[in-house]
Amino acid sequence: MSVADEYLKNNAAYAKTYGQPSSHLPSRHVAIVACMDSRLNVSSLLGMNDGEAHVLRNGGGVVTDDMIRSLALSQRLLGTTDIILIHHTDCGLAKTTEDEFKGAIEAETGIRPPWAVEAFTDAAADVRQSIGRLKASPFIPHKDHVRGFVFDVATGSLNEVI
Amino acid sequence: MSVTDEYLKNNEAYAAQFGGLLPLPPASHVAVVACMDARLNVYGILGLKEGEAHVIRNAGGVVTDDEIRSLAISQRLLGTTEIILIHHTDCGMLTFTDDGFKRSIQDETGIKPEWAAEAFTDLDEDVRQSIARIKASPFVPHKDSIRGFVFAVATGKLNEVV
Repeated sequence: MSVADEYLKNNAAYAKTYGQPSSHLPSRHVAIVACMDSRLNVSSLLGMNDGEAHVLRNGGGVVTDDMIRSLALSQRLLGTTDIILIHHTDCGLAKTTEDEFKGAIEAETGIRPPWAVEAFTDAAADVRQSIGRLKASPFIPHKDHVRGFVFDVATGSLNEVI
Repeated sequence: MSVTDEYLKNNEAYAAQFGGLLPLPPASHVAVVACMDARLNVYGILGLKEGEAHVIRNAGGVVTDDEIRSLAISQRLLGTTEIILIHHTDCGMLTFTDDGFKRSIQDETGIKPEWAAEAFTDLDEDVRQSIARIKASPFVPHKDSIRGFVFAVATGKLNEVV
């Protein structure tokens, strides 16, 4: 049995007790942008219920064009106004560099990715970088409530980046 | 108290019960690519535990360059080999067109986004489109186990796209 099949069995159990949230619009008007890291259970670490917030995640939780696209849709079509960014300690993107990662892909496939890997060395500085990108975007209308955090994977705590 | 402050209070309770540091590579070697929709609790839907799988999410759960970047990092640096895609019924991406959305931004800000909004009209077809984009990418090495699903927000069930 593949992992996907195991998860499908879990889903059958989930569906038995599932209660559909009343609206497709996030009830707390929040969008979260977080790293894809497997240790970040975003709903649990924020104590969110289903239906409360959009959850956007990618490698690093960095603000790329795809996050700008998603936030533009979130705010313009679905009514969110607050943004919470979550990076974390022990992140994979702090363990490589642009040139190392792209060089390895180029050596293996002959093709160098046209995109940035978005590697970083300091999680708090990268949160500030992501907030800076958000604030610079003409496509995000609501920027008054943007807060950034580093999640500590050893303790489960969020530490705000000022 | 803002919503963010409320979530921070929830996080204090989460950290008090926190189980401690888990390894960086996902234990199940799975990466999930899902929509950001507030009703999708990916951990609940799949029965995922912390530390098992990368969770990558954007508007629509569509495969863009940022998902390819994230999947390349997930597979090449952190050892995942399986991919699970999750779109869902009642998705906001079904309610507008790329042309209309970009026009509205241009009318308001004077600037037309250089990215695609990634609106779609058929869920199954968009899952297949996302799978095809992964399969066409030279940067994602493991493509033998990719499965796509539509989550029914009314019932909580995953339906596989074949």
